[in-house]
Amino acid sequence: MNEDSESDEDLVRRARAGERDAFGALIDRHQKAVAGFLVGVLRDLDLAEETAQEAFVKAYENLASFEGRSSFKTWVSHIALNAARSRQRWAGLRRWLSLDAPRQDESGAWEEQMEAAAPDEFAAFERRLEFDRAMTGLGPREKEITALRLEGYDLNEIADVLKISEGTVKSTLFTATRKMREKLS
Amino acid sequence: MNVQPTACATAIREIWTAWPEAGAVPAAALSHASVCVACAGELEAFRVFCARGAAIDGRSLAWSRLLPAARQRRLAAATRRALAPAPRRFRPLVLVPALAAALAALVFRVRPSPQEPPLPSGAIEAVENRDMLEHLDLLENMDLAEKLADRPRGGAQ
Repeated sequence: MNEDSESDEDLVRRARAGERDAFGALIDRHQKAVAGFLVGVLRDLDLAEETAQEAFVKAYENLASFEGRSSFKTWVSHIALNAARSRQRWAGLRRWLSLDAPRQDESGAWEEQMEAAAPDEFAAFERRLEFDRAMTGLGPREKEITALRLEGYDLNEIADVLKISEGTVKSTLFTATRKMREKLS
Repeated sequence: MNVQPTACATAIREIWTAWPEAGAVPAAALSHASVCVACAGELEAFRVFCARGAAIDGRSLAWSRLLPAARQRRLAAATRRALAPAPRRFRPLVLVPALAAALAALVFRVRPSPQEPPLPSGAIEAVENRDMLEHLDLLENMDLAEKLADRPRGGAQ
């Protein structure tokens, strides 16, 4: 069967029946976007990828509890966001307890990471980094919504991932874009 | 042209929540901006902001588009591996002590517990009688009574 043309619902059904490859197709289809928005939220490429992996493994283990009321993409994104929030809480606690060395300021760490990842795309990275710096002044929810939006999630999907109303998404995004605009001007 | 402030507020909100896609502004907001100078300015500012958030070739700045495909493939492969159950390998170094322990446990369970030989019935009775007397303190009291009876009175010999 051609997994590329199969719907998420069919792949989930097959994965539930024990077909690991069907879940593999879901990974190929959605993990990039999940890891992408996690980079925006966590501001750490390795951590974002680790969290995305954790989210997909957790989703696989809990596939039986997926009721299909939302799309698979928003369901796994919700799991990923919760995992990211949990990591942020722990990171904050570790920093507070001084068990960890203080993280590098984003200006240095980001350039290093991106340059190492793909030097030929550096101009595009710089543009994105400019936005990510503007995002640092946002509140946690504003940051999450902005990161999801930049990754191509529509307003309805964001509402589903965050379990909030679409109206709240809109008003939060409106405030966030205002703040970023000021910061970038 | 005069427009309602609430209509402007709605249009501006609709314009900015279309971010980062400049082309996703709803028709109603576009229509309003076409007749409202202030909102037309907002629409222009929005388009500039969107252009700033687009890559050189006009594509979005999503991390999933910016990160190298090889890196993303590695992540997907690693996640697939993380789903797979641990491979079943024959590990004699672990199995041998485990089997030995299991065998020892089995032998210990199956072996009949050693029984003590029964005591002769006369011995049991003697012990029981002695126990009873000791508990009643009879022996001690009898000895004391005998000593008192044998002792000479007044100390005259």
